[in-house]
Amino acid sequence: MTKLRHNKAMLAGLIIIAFFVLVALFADLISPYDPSALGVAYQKPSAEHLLGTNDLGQDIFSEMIYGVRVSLFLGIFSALIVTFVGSVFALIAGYYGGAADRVICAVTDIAMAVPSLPLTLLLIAYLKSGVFSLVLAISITAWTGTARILRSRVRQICQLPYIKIEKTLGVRTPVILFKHVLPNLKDILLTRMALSVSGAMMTESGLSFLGLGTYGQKSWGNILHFAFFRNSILRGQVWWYLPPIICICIAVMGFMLVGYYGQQKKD
Amino acid sequence: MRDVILEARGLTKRFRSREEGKRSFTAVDKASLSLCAGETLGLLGESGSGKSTLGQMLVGLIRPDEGTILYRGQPLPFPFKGVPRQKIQILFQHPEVSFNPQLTLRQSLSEPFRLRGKPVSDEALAECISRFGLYPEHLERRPGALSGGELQRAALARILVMEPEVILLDEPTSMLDVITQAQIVDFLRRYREEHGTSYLFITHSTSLAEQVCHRIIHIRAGVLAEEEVPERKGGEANEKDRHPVLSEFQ
Repeated sequence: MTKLRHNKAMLAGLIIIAFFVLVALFADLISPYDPSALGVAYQKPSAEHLLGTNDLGQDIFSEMIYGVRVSLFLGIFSALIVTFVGSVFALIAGYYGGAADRVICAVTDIAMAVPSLPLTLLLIAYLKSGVFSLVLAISITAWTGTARILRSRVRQICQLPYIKIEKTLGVRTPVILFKHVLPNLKDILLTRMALSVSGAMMTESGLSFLGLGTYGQKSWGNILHFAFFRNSILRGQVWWYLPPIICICIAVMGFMLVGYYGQQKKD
Repeated sequence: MRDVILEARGLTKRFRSREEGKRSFTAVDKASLSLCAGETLGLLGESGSGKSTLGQMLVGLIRPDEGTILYRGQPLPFPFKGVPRQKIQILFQHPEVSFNPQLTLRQSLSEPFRLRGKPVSDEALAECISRFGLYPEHLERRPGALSGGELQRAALARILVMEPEVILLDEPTSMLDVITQAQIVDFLRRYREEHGTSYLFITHSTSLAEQVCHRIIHIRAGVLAEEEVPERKGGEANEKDRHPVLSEFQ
């Protein structure tokens, strides 16, 4: 029964993720308009413009569809970097222990002590504007949690007899790490990656909302930024500011459900 | 006297202490011992006495802080490499965690074949496990689908592919049922007689150590204490003192 519940949670998460991935992949086909095309501003939702138009007359529904691409790409790409960096540090610290472990733990502690949002804002301000700068700024502070959790697990695994037996058999360290340690981390990796995607999507939305996101590219945070700074709340234009909020929530929930499943399985 | 195959001179290992005010505690203190070819040397001590730490230093799993390990008279630098690495193997107490849970027995057993440069074939793998009462269908199973006894026998089969000269037996029978214990003890005895393999038998069971070991060294608080050569007495009077493993086997 418990297993079924977890499967259902993961299934729901996977369906949500698959939906957004498909929308991102087929945005050109699904989108009724070019999201940059100008038209009549501030139109209400209608059959012609399902979510109305913004201050420049751009179709909000088309913006939302194209916005999936940037939000999802940023989230997934940042999560890949975060998971990769975290895993490398965790494997080195957990496997070798000693001085390597102490140095990596110290670096992780210092990185964790730095407030992530101000550092991200600072980096965004200094880096050249663009998706990759955003990915870098998000990733640079987000790897610490993954590294710390994975390092504990790697240390546990390395104390198990089968790893010691591999060592006495003379199996080379990279083989031990990639064949015997890493596959046994897949539940935590899945969890951390899913949570990293949702975290990165939230950060991207927050940065874009503050106007520090990607320029010239539609993202949900970006839509929200213009919706708020063009007084959509005062104008009562729910169709402008609410869809990006709902999409961010649903997408983040999708990744968290997948992460939740992994966490439960690990526990 | 037979050839000394593995020797420890003044091995010391300290670990960082978690107790306040103490920087470190000494798990093994200046331990010296020698293991001859074809000999079963017992290392007898209570839990926490340092016997496993000493054993793991001798097989190259833990770097000693002080002291030297010699293999056939030659000092062995840490980590062990080459022939000594292949010839000194270990069998652990817990068979259920002696195999990677993600791999089938076939995948786990193929590894030592590849390391030894031997061809990995169905016949070779089947032969490798058959002498331990395991069948080819066991090869396709993951550790979770095998019993503790099957796993321990498979673990033994795996290390024997390396044709070891020294095997550290770290309480190898304590987690097994009496029948499997007897099978493993008997197999190890026959293997030693056929191949001249040396065993360092770590245990806390005095009766078992007395009946399988040629010599026994007692370890207390990391210090090697007295050494004894167990007397193997026959007759009915001694039967009640026999370890259950050997009684069952009889």
